[in-house]
Order: sequence, then structure tokens, then C-alpha cells
Amino acid sequence: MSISPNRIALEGEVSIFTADEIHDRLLAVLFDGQEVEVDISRVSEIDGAGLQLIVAARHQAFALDKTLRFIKPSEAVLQMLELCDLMSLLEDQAVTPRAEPV
Amino acid sequence: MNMDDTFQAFIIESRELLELMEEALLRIEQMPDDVDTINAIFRAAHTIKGSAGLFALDAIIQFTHVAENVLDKVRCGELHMDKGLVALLLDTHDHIETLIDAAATGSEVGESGREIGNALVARLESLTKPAQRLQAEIPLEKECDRETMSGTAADTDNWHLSLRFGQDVLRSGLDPLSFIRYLKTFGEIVSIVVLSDAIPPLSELDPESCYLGFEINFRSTADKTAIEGAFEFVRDGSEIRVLPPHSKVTEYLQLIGGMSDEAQLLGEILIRCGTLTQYELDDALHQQEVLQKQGKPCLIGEVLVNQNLVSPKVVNAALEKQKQAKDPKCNEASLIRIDAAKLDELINLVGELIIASAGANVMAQRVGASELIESIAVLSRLVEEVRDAALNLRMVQIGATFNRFQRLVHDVGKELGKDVNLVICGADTELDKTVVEKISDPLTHLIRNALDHGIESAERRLATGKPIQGTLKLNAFHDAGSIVIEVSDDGGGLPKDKILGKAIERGLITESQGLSDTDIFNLIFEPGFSTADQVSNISGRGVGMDVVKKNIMALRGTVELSSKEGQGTTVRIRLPLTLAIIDGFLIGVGSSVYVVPLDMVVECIELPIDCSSRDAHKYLNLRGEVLPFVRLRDLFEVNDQTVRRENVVVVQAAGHRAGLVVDELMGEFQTVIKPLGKMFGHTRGLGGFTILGNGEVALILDVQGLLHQIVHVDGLRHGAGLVPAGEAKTLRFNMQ
Repeated sequence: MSISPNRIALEGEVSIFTADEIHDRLLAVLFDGQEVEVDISRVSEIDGAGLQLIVAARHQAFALDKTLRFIKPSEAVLQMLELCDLMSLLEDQAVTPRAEPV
Repeated sequence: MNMDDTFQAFIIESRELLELMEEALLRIEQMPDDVDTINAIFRAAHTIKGSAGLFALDAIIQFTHVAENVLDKVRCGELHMDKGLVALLLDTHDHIETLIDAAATGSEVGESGREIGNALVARLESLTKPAQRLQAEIPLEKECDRETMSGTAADTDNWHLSLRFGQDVLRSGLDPLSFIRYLKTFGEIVSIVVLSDAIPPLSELDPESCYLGFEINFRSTADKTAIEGAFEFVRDGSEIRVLPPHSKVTEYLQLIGGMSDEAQLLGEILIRCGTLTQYELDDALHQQEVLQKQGKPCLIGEVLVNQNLVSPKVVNAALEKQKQAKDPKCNEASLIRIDAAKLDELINLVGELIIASAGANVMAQRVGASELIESIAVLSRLVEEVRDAALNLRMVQIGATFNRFQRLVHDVGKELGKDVNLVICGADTELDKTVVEKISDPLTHLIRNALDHGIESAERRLATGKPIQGTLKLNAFHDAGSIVIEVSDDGGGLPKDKILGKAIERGLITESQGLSDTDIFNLIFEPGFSTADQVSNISGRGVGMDVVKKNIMALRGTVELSSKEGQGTTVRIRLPLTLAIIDGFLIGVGSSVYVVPLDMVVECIELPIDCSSRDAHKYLNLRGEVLPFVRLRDLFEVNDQTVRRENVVVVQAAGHRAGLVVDELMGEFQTVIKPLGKMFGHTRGLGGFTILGNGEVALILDVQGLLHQIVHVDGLRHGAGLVPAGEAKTLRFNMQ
């Protein structure tokens, strides 16, 4: 499905039912390219499992020092991010490094 | 676990905590600035209060709360732990104990108890009130400012929800996001923070596990039940906490402490949520810093939970957290409570096992099959190991008993106006639980005695060049199959002349008797003997030492005393490690077999011919010493045929010595003591019975009782004195 080594698109449902597959795809693409773009324009539905996949992917990108962008968010994704006040996830590497325990 | 069990656990735990508290209070007198000890006291009071909340024991909650306030001040350094305060806190401790006892029996504290409580509350409050006023007057003192802050409500009109969804939430088909959406149907999510740091990087992520957590600032007119109800389906395995508007800052702290170790981070999240202001958070974290500055790094959760007041609403959470804090300790000791009766049953069974295996051994020997003998030997060894292990179960450390005397020394010392320090050594020495229980009373007597008569008044100590503070030492150690407990003081020692004088006055001895020091000291164990010039209400009435001795003898122990005038006195108690099993010495009379405790057997000799005639006098010459003896044959009216050569077992107990004339010496035998039935309870001279390997019953002789009979009854009739022990050199035949 991937258009290029550093670009994939997620389509349809990004949920607990597809989480396993998407997890593998995201992981593969992240290890492959230095710069990764994930097209989420055709995501029709996203749930908590999808949310944590996005966050986890950002953590991973940060750990590998790679650039990961989620582009062209669909309405469903936007709604979800708004609900969780996580619009920052759409920015470049917005996820802060894990804080050191105090 | 039902509520009753929980309640019992609460009572037991509270009592333990009270013990710890008492111990700590007594320790703090010596080192008033020890942070650990102060914290220990505080924690004890705090935990009791928290747990009491679970059972709605208002009297305990209210009273402990007042005490806790005072302790908190001490912890912040606003109050100094001086003698007066320690005394007050000890009284407080006692009252909590009264309250717990009342709760345990389900009764109310009596009128007098309530009065004591009220008086204590008044005294405790008088300590906290002025301090609070002080805070108000000196606004610059930040610490105090913050102190009051933590009790006030956070400045928010909104609910705060802390959600940590369980791992399996997604798998069970629930979407955490749908709960958030649902919240929006009856309120407004003012702000929401996803705990993204809790989500692992992709490579470590199990895509079907849920890692989601949210902190939500929620504005709603719904009540708590409604909000909590929203999460009903995910309650299991998830952590859902709902804090109502205007919750105390402390409750947020509770939240911070309870939810994550990354407290700072979570604190910041709370600020981002607008639930707490930065100021409030600083406030919360301040106390942690205080502790850390004192060189005591703590998890914030622990600090917060321990330091702040908890309302009944969150008491559950508080209890959980406290348990966690306590768990490492529990794990170290990993103790389980067992009903003592069950242990007794086990010991009893092991006793039977020993008997049975001895029986098997005898049979094997008789049959003579070497393979059988071999396997029986293995079995016997295992049985012995099982026995040792089982007996070990009953072993408890004497430390707990010793520690109880801290309070006694403290109180009695105060009463007498003497400053006495109790030093405890060998607290980890183990001995049988029944022995421990029974040794407490005699020790109390000895300690009171040492405090009252032993340790001199401060002036006198000063005059003789001793440190003003007297030292009382409790020491315990194992020595040759028995435990030795020493009570020693650095006081004036026993006045030898005075004892002699009193003894002569009372006709216990005649002046002409040349007694050794030990003999003289032992006179104080005679009934009704006291050298005290004055009878105080602590001791000196002359009942005590003889009771002490009697109690210890009843435990098959001995007590001896050494003293140096001007330097102090040491009372040494020697006790068997266990009461259930003894090394016995088997003797035969006719066809009956008797057991004498081996440690009481001094030597065995053949009965000289000139004594063997039935009507002869009942004394024999033991290397120039008069030894009264008794024929067990006569005593127990055994009518079997007499044997040609009779033997004398010389036994000694309580400083008396006598001979028991028996037919046969049968050697050592490990004996499980079984008590005689009620019917035989008053039989003199018998201590119990045991079952021999061949299934026969053997009676265990109560040597002390027998000696008493022989020496006093016969002795008086024939006008002979007691035979002082320890002079003749002993010679023991090896019977094996």
C-alpha cells in the first residue's frame, strides 16, 4: 500500500480491530525511512487504540531521531484530537521527550 | 475477607502500631531530634486514624486527629519534643489504646475514659492553637503559610477526573474515548490532558493493550455518583478518581501521590488542566523538599500521603498507599499469623510422631532386620528434624517482651524521680512462646526491684561519682540448650550485711553459719524477705522475689543473683528453650517406668548396703554429706518384687538435693511432656506423663515437688536442715 518508502496512508478504520496491522506498518515505515509521512486523510474512524498508536509512533520517531508527520487529517481524526486536546500531534515532532522522573 | 476479619485485622494492626508508637516515644526521649522516630510516631497515629475511618470509629478518628496535628507540628519543627510533650503523647497513646480496646469489644469508652480523652484533647489543642496564631502573625514565615494552605480548598469550581484505563479495556471492546465523549453529554470538559508519556514507543507497544490515561478538568452540575457512574464498565482494572470541586489541596496531593511516581510531571498536568494553580502545587511539593533537605529522600506519594490529613472520602486510597509503603517491611519479615492453638496441635502431633518413631525403632531392633533398622534410623532423623522445625515455629524473639519494659522503666523512673536508661541486648534471642508469656511477670518484678532498690537516687549517684543517669540492662542469650536472661543495674548492689541481719532477725539462718556470698544473696528469694527500709508502692513489701523465683521454677528454670556492693546487681534467669519436650532420664521401679528431667539429675550412685534395709533411716552419707532420700517404691506404692541392688538418683532443684531410690537406671530419653488429666491435677510429685517407644506410659516426676516433700516434710520431722547445693563435686555417670 505504501506509496513510497517514507510515505504511507492509513485508510478506513484506525481502531482496535486494525491496530495490530497498522502497528506493524508504522513500525516498518519508521525503520525504513529517515523522513516519514503518514497520510491520514482517509481515516474514517479512530478510537483510543488509534490514538495511542499515533502517540507511540511519535515516541518511536523521537527515539530514532527521525521525522514523522501525520498529514491531511480527516474529519474523524480532527474530532478525536480536538476531544483530547492533542492537536499538537499534527505538528512536527511535537511530542516532548519523556520527562525524567523527578 | 469479610468485614469482621477486616475489623480484627484493624484491631491487631492498631495495637501493633501503638506498640511501635510507644517504643518510638520512649526512644525519642533519648534523641529528641531524630526525624525517623518522629515520623514513626506520626505514621502510627496517622495510620490508626486512617484505618479507623474505614469503620467509622469517630471517637478514634477525632482523638487521633488532634494528636496528629500536634505531631505534625513536631515534624515541621514548630514544636519541640521535650519531656513534657513525650509524657503527654504517652498519655495520648494510652488513651488511643483505651479507645481501640473499647472498639474491639464494641463498647463505648466509660465516663472516666471520656473525661481523660477530653482533658487530653484540651492539652493537645493548647499546643497547636498558639502555634497557629503565631503563623498568622508572622506572614513571612513561608513554612507556616504553606502549612495552612494545604488544609484549604483549591480555588476551582470544577471536578477533577483522573482516569487510568486498565490494560484490557480495548480488548474488552471498550473505547476510552467514548467515555470522554460521554462526559461531554452532561458537562463541559474545560481542559483535558492525555498522559502521552505513559504510552510506550511503537516498538514496545502492544497495540491491543490500553495505555491511555487522562486528567480532566470537568465542569458539571452532576453529582459524584453520576460522574463515577459514567465509568462503571471500566472500573475493574482501571483507576478512576473523581475529585469534587473545592477539594482540599491535600486531596489533589493524594492524587498526585497515588497516581504516579512522576509526581512533578503529574503536578504540572494538574496545572495545565487548571485544576491546581502553580502556587498550590508548589505548596504541595514543598513538604517533600523539607524532608529531602533533612536528608530523607522520599517518593512524593509517600510523603504526601503520610503528611497530610485525609478525609474519609479518600481514606480508601490512603490505606492502599500506606499499605504499599509498608509492604517492603512486611516482605522483609514476611510473617503470617497463626492461631496459637493450631501450633499447639502441630507440636502435639509431632510429639506423637516422636513416640511412634521411637516405637518403630524398638520394634525394628527387636526384629533385627538390618534394612528395617536402617530405614527406621533415617525416619527417626527426619522426625527429629521435623520436631526441631516445629518447635522453632513456636519460637519468638524476646525483643518484643523487652521493649515493653521501656515504658515501665520510663514510668517507674519518673515516679521515683530517677533517670534511668534501659539498655536492651540480645533482643533477637528466641525462645518458646509460652515461656515468653510467662517470663513477663517475673521480669516486671525484677525490673521494678532494680529501679526501686537497685539504682540510687541522683544525689547519691553523684556523690559516689556515677553518672546521674542510671542504667538498667536487659540481656538475653542462648547458653547450652537454655536461654539466659539477665537483668542488671549499675546501682548500689545488695547490702550483704543488711541481708544477713534481716535473715538472722527472721530466723532464716543462725549467725554461726558461714554462708557464701551467693547463699546470702539467695536469701532475698526467701518468702517475705525485704531489706528495704521503706515500703514504696513500687516494691519492697517483701512479696516479689520469692514469687519471681517460684514462677521461674515453674518454668523449670533457675534464677541466680550476683552483686557487688556499690557497683550493681545482676539477676540471671536460666530457662529451658521449650516446655513441650525435655531430655528425660528413665528410671524403673518394679515394672513401672518414670522420667526425671535430665537437667535435674546430678549423679547416680548405688545405694549403700547399710541403707538398703527397708526400715533404715532415710539419709545416706554422700561423700561426707547428708543426703535425704526417698524410695519411689514406697512413695508410689509399687508392690512388685524388690531387686537386689537399688540405685540412688541424686536430683537437685531449687538449691535442694535429695536422692530418689529406684530399681533400675534406664538412660536418657527424649520426652514429650503430656499434661495429666484434670483428675490427677492435684497429685503431688507428678509433672505429667509421656509415652515410651514401646507404647508404655511413663510418669514424669515433678522433682521440685518431690524435693519439697522430702526436704521439708521429712526434714522437719527429723530435724535436719536442707542440704546446700553446689558444695559437693558432682560426678555423673554416662548412661550410654
